[in-house]
Amino acid sequence: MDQSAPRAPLIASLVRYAFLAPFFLGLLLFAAFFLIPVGRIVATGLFEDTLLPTVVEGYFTRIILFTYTQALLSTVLSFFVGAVGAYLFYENRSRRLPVLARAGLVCFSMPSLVVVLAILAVWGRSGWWAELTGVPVDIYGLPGIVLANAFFNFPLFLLGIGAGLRGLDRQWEQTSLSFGASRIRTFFTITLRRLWPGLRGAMVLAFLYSSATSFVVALFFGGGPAATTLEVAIYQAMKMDYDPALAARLALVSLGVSLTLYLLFLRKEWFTVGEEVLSEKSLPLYAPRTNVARLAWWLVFAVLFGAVVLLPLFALVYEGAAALPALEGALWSEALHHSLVLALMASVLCVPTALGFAYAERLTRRKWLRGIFGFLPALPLAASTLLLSVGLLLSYPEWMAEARGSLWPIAIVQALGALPLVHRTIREALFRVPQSHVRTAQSFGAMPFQVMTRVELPAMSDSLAVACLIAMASSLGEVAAVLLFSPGEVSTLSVELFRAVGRYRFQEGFGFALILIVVLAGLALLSSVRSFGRKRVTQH
Amino acid sequence: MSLNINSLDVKVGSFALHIEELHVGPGEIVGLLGKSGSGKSTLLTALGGFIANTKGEYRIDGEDRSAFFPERRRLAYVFQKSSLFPHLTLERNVAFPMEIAGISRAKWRPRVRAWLDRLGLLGLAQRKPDALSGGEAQRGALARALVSGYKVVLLDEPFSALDPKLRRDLRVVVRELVHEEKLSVLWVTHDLEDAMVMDRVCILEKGKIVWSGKPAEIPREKYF
Repeated sequence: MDQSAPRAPLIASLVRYAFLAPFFLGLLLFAAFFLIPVGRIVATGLFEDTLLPTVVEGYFTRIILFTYTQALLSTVLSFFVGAVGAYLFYENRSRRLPVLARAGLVCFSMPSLVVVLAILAVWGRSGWWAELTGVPVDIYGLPGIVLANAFFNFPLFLLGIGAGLRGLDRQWEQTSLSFGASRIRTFFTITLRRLWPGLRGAMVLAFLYSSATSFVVALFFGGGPAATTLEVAIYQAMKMDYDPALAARLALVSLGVSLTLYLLFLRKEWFTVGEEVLSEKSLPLYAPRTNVARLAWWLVFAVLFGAVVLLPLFALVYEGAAALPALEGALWSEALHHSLVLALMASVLCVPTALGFAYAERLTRRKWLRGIFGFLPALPLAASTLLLSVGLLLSYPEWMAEARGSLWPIAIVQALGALPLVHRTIREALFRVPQSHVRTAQSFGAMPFQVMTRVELPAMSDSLAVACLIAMASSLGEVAAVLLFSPGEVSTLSVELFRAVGRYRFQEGFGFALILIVVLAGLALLSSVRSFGRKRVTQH
Repeated sequence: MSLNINSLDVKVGSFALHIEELHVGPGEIVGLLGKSGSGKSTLLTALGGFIANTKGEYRIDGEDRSAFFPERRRLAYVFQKSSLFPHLTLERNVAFPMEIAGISRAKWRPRVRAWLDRLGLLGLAQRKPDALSGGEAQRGALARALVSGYKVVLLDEPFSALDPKLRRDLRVVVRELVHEEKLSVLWVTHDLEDAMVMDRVCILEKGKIVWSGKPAEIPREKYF
């Protein structure tokens, strides 16, 4: 057991950490397939002398205004659904919390098209509501976009606010109450201020997701200059007008706004999907006191949650089950096969890349370098997969032409699209591994590789499973890369769904959507298997 | 086996620690006392090889290990809060040093179970740390340190999170084990009662040893 040997500084250090080399290949992947394409977009957009005229031209000004107005309204509706849910479930310390958290995650990961169809099934012109009441709702345009975005983004508030509520030590609130302050005043003067960083993070993220990554939602519910978002305009510039320069200029506007918001508000506080942590001192100070009040809150939640999430999902499953037998077997089995392979490829690319960034940040001593390793993987948040696909087509036109029909470019774009959330999940988990555990393992002779495999990765296993789920779910729902890179050649569930809806064959769409939901639910179940029966609530 | 520290300089930000000389002999417990921020835990961390900016030397049985990587220093750590790995059972936690050394389960199992038995933990061997009490977890951490076979043990306020009765019991356990196993123990504590089971005590202030001697002779009014 004698391992004593003098330190040989540089070479020995390199040998000790050589096992991280495959992870750092992910960093190279990021540089080649994200930084260069985005740099190309910026260069194309900036050095064309038509950037300003494009932005101030009436048509595009309306598009830009509409993009950010719908994002704002979507954020507000998501907040109401998520905040009421967080209040009811977390403040009452419901036992269903892990289930709710996982369900929220599934909604957040739901493919855009599935949500579009779900909303159409209830609120569409021939949806359940119209059939039941005889009063059709005009869901197209702003209402549909806002409703769909709220469906995706309410979990940001539910989980973000909820985690904040559960982690708070309420001694300051108790002090405030003991000096005679009312609960409402205490909430606004103390609790809200303490929840604010997480809340602000959720708000900015919801706004970013609603504005920069809602391409499919806006494509289906929008239309015409009055209800077109920047993402749709970029797609149209690439697909219909064959004007990459215009696409790059519009992409630059989107990138600029998203990046500014990120740098201003999200660099430190972020929404994270991690373990539920319950502070023993987190007393339910604000839980409804009377049965009437409790009932009223539940009613509000039921109406909001039912209208935005539950009813559309139920309708989709119902319609999907009816449509499933009519689906062409060969078509959906090929689409399912491609979807699963792509999801696996995206996950295999994304998770190690995220691990590479997290380890690079953890191992680096220089503060500025740590900042860079923490910041870079969040950048795709400001650039949707559509924008990234445009960047790749501009940067590597020959390679992209040769790779037509191949799954790799699609998987790379999908992996990069999922990277921000996957990285954040993994990073938080890695940094949560107590330093004392790492040091103990090292002091007992564990080399860095052994520390990683025997201490850090096992401690992060839940988060790694969630990260894989996020990467795979994100890939399953992605259509932009497939449509731009290999139209007509690669069939995935989302693309078939896209085509079915585009041809107004909604029944077929419902069938594909149901398959997607089943696959997602299966993945969510798989990612939870490890945690069944385990004590999920840990004490501080 | 003994631990000798000579002219050790550690720098963490603006804080500087300087230990001119410190010796811990076999079967001896030397305590490090002092106020918060005096450098007690920094010294242990530096000895473990976890602080880059460290100069000087420390020797174990005459061999200078100050330039070794942490995993080659052969120092057993026990931290304030349980440093048992949450994903491993108590038995696997205790066996960790031997698993790392590549010793097979068939070989480590009897030794691990013997130590668990000795510390009254055998019945809890298959439990995970979250199903152990604070005292059981700390005894588990002690068992792991002893199983490693390392003769130099660093205790960083190991019992400070426990209730007084448990602390008294565990102090006695440590005292007995140190004598039986001829361990050299450097023990950081805030608690003067801990000091009573130590052979010698050093008081640190602003990164320097300002007093050392027998526990009974500690000038309490001056330093506490």
